[in-house]
Amino acid sequence: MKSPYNFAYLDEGSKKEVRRAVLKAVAIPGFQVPFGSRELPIGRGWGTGGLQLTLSLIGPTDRIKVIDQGDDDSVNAVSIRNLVVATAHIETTDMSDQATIIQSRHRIPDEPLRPGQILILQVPQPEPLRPVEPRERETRRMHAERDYSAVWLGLYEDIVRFGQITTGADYPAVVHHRYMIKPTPIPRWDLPKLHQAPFLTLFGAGRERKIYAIPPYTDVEPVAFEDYGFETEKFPVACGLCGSREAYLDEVLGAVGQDRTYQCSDTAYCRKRRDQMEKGNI
Amino acid sequence: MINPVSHEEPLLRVDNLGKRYGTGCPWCDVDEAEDRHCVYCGSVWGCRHIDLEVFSGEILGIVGESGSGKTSLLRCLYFDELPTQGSARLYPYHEGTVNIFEASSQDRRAIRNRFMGMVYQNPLMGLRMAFSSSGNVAEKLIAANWFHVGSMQKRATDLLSVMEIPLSRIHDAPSTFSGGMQQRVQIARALANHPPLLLLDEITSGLDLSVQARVLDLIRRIQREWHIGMIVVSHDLGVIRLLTDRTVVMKDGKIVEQGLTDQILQDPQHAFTQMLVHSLL
Repeated sequence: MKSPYNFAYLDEGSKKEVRRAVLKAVAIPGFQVPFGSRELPIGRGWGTGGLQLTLSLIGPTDRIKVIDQGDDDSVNAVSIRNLVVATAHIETTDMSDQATIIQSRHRIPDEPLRPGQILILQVPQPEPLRPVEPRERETRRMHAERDYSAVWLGLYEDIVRFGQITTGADYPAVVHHRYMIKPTPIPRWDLPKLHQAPFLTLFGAGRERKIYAIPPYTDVEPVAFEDYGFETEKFPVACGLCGSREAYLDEVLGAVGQDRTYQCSDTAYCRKRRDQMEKGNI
Repeated sequence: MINPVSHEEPLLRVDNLGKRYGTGCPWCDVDEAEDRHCVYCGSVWGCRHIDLEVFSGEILGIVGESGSGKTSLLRCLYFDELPTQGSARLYPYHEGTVNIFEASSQDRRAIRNRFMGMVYQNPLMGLRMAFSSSGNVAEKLIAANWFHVGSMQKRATDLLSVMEIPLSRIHDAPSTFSGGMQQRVQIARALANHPPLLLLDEITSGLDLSVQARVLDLIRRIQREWHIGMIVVSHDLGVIRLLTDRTVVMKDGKIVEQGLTDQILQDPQHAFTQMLVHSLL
């Protein structure tokens, strides 16, 4: 039976507009490119920006992986994956190294990505200056003049009040020594993965109607003071399931509440390691 | 871009500065029009034909009734508004050879952060109320490329101590401060990068007499010790008498008289100045 939808749901004109915005975003790393965000059969704020990027970029031979906070099987990830499969009839995978396009919310896979892959991140709030400046016209001026002192001030206030920078996720970073971005609420752990990354990273904010990008092999520097540098999270133990000490871990509280264990946030990475452990490769 | 201030050259030279609010029309530019409101397009001149000079280490007073264009002039000089006509040359910026209003927006921001400090009548305009007092000072330092938290904290603490802000309160938000303390935090912020020019707009308005006296003492001490040029805008002749070396009198957006402060106050020549001086309570 013929599908009632166009390939990958969006009409070709919409895809072309999104691709045009992507090209501009890649040409100006970190610059937020406005685009006409389309209506989708999921609510705004549930990944419509990322989904529009995915639907605009996939072809019949692509293989997609969708994760939500590192988990391939969360409701949001499954719903998005089902929509893509229902409208584009392409293959899906849980393995990061086998996917050509990875759409993610709040995590970058712990398995290193390779050149040619595209990482698409869903963005709830793309503007790093929004907490200090509500006017869009003013934030555009501030970006144009690299007037980022208010963002630095926020980190300074953190240090003065708490003795350290308390920003856990969505830590601001400067792309290509020019534009400051919010890298979406990925943990600090993931931010160094974007620096000189061999893959293309695209950020889509459907509700805010913005697209921005980090092209492959681009400098991404977290904002840091001379005497208070950027630090990633530290975990006291290894993953309770696969024993990894090189992955971002989630804290899991036991039923009693007293016992707590840690396990990999990236479920596919953890599963792959356990498979290798069973085969005796680790 | 940064140059030492010459003692021979004026620190700031303003020529024919004018700010018009409204769309404007050819009739607005007729110089002889007495009324600052244009009857054809409804535009109004905030200030017009302003010529003045400020030298390093000097305090220039600008006095006039409410609505005479004092604040419009100051807001133009601090780039809060762009003037409709005229030029201003600041000696530290390309040795005063370039009109600062023709500078790029990046240069204008650098001028604001490094060569000028502004203290607004309303602290809400000059301070970030949600951030700490030391943070308000630090923001100016960050804008001037300070990225060492320890150095910024020390600088902020030193400045706020000079401004008599208790050390125990320098990390409190200015929104929890009294009006006088807020003005002193504004002054500390304005002085963060040791600018050669400080603009003060009605800084004692709304303060009681004892707090006014403390703020004015502070201004005099800073001027004496730091040797920076200042423009003090006020409608209070007492403030002008106490602080300034020279005074400019404004009425309906224009300068009607200027000279040494003592001369202006003791022997006013223009009818408006005479009325202003004699209307002292």
